[in-house]
Amino acid sequence: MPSNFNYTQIDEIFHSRIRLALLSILLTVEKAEFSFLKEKTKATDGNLGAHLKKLEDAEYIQIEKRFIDRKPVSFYNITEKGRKSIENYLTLLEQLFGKT
Amino acid sequence: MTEKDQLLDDLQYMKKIINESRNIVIRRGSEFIVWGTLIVTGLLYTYLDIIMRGSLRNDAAWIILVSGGWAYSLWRWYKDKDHKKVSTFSGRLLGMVWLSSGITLTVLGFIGPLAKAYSSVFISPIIATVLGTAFLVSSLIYNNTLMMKIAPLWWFGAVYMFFFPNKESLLIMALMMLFLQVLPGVILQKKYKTEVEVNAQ
Repeated sequence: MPSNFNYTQIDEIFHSRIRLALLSILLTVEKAEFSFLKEKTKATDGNLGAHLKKLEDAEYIQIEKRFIDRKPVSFYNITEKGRKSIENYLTLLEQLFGKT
Repeated sequence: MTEKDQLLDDLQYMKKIINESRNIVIRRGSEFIVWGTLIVTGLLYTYLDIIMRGSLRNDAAWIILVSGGWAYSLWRWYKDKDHKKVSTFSGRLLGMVWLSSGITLTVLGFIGPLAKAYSSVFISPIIATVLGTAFLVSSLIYNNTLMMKIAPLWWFGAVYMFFFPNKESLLIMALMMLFLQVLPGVILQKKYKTEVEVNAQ
């Protein structure tokens, strides 16, 4: 481990397992519905909603609300800022663990 | 757990999630079943037409059957487009493989013989060749070994029908359609229903 590695450099967003999972999922799919994210993260509606809001406030994800069969449905996708933040996070981890 | 262990654990977790999410493709088998059944009907009708010396107007039957197939695909697309929980590149790619194959097969089945580019007896082997390609590409996207095993069977059948072009090749093609298109469609549809039920829980 490099002696100059600073843990505080890690974005606070990544301190939560659920937010990490959400960003990882949205990194690989083009967009995903709330129920899909709930199923994958096994989070409750309220918990998931709070984490998604935090990611949305950080402008790491975008939300698209639609009415399907008269029911509101939310779709989420990652933004360029969110994609860059994950890249930075992985670069920091690479510094920590080396390229192995 | 140290901070370093925690970060390593996070990294493994991200890797797992990314691998699980990357190739999510949930596809119905109903289109395979509908198209396969329509084509088998057309092949048997054409065979009967040949036996009855052209008294059955099989060209009109093909237009009706293929139009029916496209109408079903269009209706299915319209019904499903808003109900997808997740959109992936793999899913779009798979859709494009079958859309482009469908258009290619329609052109090869109707326009080629109409333009007298080849005899209609070669429609079956040409179609079998294209289907082999579509199944192989789909097997990679869908990560499905059954589809991968089906692809060479289409090509073997195509080679046979190219060498032995006769009215019996219509029956061979009908059997291939049943076992290499309709049957995998039934398996895919069962898998689709299971995945949808699991997701609904």
